[in-house]
Amino acid sequence: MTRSWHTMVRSPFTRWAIIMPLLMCIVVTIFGVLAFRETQRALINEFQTALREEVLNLELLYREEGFTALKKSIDRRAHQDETQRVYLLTNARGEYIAGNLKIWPRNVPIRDDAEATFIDPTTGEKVAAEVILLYGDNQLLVGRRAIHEQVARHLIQNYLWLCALMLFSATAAGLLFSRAIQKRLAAIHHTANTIRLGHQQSRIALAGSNDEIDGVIVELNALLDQQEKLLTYARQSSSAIAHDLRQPLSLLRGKLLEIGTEPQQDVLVKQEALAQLDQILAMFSAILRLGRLESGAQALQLETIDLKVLAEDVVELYQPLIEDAGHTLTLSGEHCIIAIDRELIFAALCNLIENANRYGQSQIDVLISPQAITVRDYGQGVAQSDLDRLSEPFFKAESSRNSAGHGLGLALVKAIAELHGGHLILRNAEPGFMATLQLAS
Amino acid sequence: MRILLVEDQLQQAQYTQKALQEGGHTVDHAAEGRTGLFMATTENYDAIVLDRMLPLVDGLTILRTLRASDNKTPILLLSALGEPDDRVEGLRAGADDYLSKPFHSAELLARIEVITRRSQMASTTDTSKLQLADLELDRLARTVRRAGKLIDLQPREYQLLEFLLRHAGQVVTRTMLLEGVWNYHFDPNTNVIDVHMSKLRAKIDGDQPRPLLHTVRGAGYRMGEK
Repeated sequence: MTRSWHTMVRSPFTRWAIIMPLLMCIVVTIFGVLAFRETQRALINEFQTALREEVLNLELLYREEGFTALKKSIDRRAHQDETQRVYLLTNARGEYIAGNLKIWPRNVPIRDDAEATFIDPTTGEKVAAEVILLYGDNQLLVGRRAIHEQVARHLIQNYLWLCALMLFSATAAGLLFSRAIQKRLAAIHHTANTIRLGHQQSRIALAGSNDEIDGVIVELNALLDQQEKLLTYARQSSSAIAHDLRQPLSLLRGKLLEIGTEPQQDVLVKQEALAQLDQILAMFSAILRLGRLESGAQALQLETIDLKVLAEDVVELYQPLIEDAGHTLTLSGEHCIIAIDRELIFAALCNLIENANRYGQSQIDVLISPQAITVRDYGQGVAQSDLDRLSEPFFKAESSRNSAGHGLGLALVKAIAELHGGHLILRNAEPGFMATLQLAS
Repeated sequence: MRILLVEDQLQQAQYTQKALQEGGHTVDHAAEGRTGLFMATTENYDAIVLDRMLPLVDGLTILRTLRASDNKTPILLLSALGEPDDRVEGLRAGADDYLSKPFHSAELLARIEVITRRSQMASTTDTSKLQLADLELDRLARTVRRAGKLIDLQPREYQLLEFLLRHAGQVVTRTMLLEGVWNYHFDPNTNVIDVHMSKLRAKIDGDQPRPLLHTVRGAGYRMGEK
């Protein structure tokens, strides 16, 4: 993946990877400077106090015990291991007597109580020193190596190392992190492209880490699944519409061709053609109604009514028709006061009863239970494999392939149930078939 | 009758216009809401057929404006194809009736007939007796006689007959019966209404030489002496 510098800088991850170490450096620097100043001050104080004491001690020793003791003490002190102290005892001419410095440094004045700093030629270290003139013009130089300078050097060195390490590690971590994120984003990106190119089944791969990004990906995949289902559904239903309309339209065409062949039949043929056309129009109305219900464009007109009274209306409307077909229609169950769209539930119930009348035999039972209506027939039932698909638009079970229905009835009932926050339950009742319109509980 | 049709879609307008003219009405057509409103307020019409979905000024607004200015012309509201079928809203806004597309010309004519008659005969609905030839319905006693002989009707059959007699001479469609008698508005797919009608016919016309209940092919039913 080649990406221009510009887009890289624009990426929030890259920016984060840059800003983060810089921020860390700034914080560490502030801390470092403060700590450094404190340390230096303390060290210098310590240093000067120690030097003062040393000088006082030696002066005391010289006064109380004399030159020889001083010389011995200086010898002893000067040759201790690892000593930070510097001594030089010379005679009046400046010739070496004792100490660990060989030559009187050039820029140190020979004056009592003079303070000076000089560079030790043997080690190259800075030394701060005091000068004491003894009797007989012997000169004593007492100094200490300025370790605080070393400490400062070390501190600064360490600080620089630390900064470098921090910059490196934070940048590396940031880059790795953003690379990881970008990789996962790229997966999403890639899948989106693949889908755009027409591979509807493509899904975003999960990293398996179960983190927030995986959570988002799971959501996205679910969304894609749903979209694909809708798309498939739309494709199926449009081809189903086309398929289901061809037949009645061909029939209509045939009828229209008949007109004029036998003039005395024309009136009848025209009637038949009109009936055919009405059926097509009814189917379109059903499709539109279904579309309105499913898209939620139709607002529910809720009224609080007795479900049983509504069922009585339906039963009363269909009773003569069903008796004519030689069946019986019974209604049982309790009263149930519920807020529903009475028109829609009425239409749904009519649908279920018409189905039962079409496919059932002898008897149809309508049963009211709390929040639900069940319509049961005693016919053949439905093949188990078809049960789940019954409420799909245009789906027709094998057993009803040649019946007059347009295959939208149960889809409408299901949409009505779902609009009420309920659902439609279809099952075989052995014998017969059972449709339950379960309303919101 | 003189009818104003307010409809923006040309083809639909032609279809509706033709249907109305075949029913013997003269039709003025307005292709959009503002013109429609202007014509409705300046001319005198027996009825207005109003499309609900119009450009510029929509149907419901016109309806409310007319009703607010105390215009009582009977109005039949047409719902456009594929939009929410909200009868209640239409009727509340002041429509006399509501019809959703696609509709039958017979349905349209029957409904126009009813809403115009309704406004003319608003006073006749409270007469206690409805009569047609030798068929007589007493609304107080809830009895029906034919040639003086009492006919025993189920409550629903009685309601059906009352509705038909109130619209005697007019075509009454199946959906109108379902609305007027059962008070549900939908289009039953089967001949569920026809069965009720044939039962009623058997009781009132049965063996009478002169049938009063006629089937109008492709449209519905009509009570009349011919």
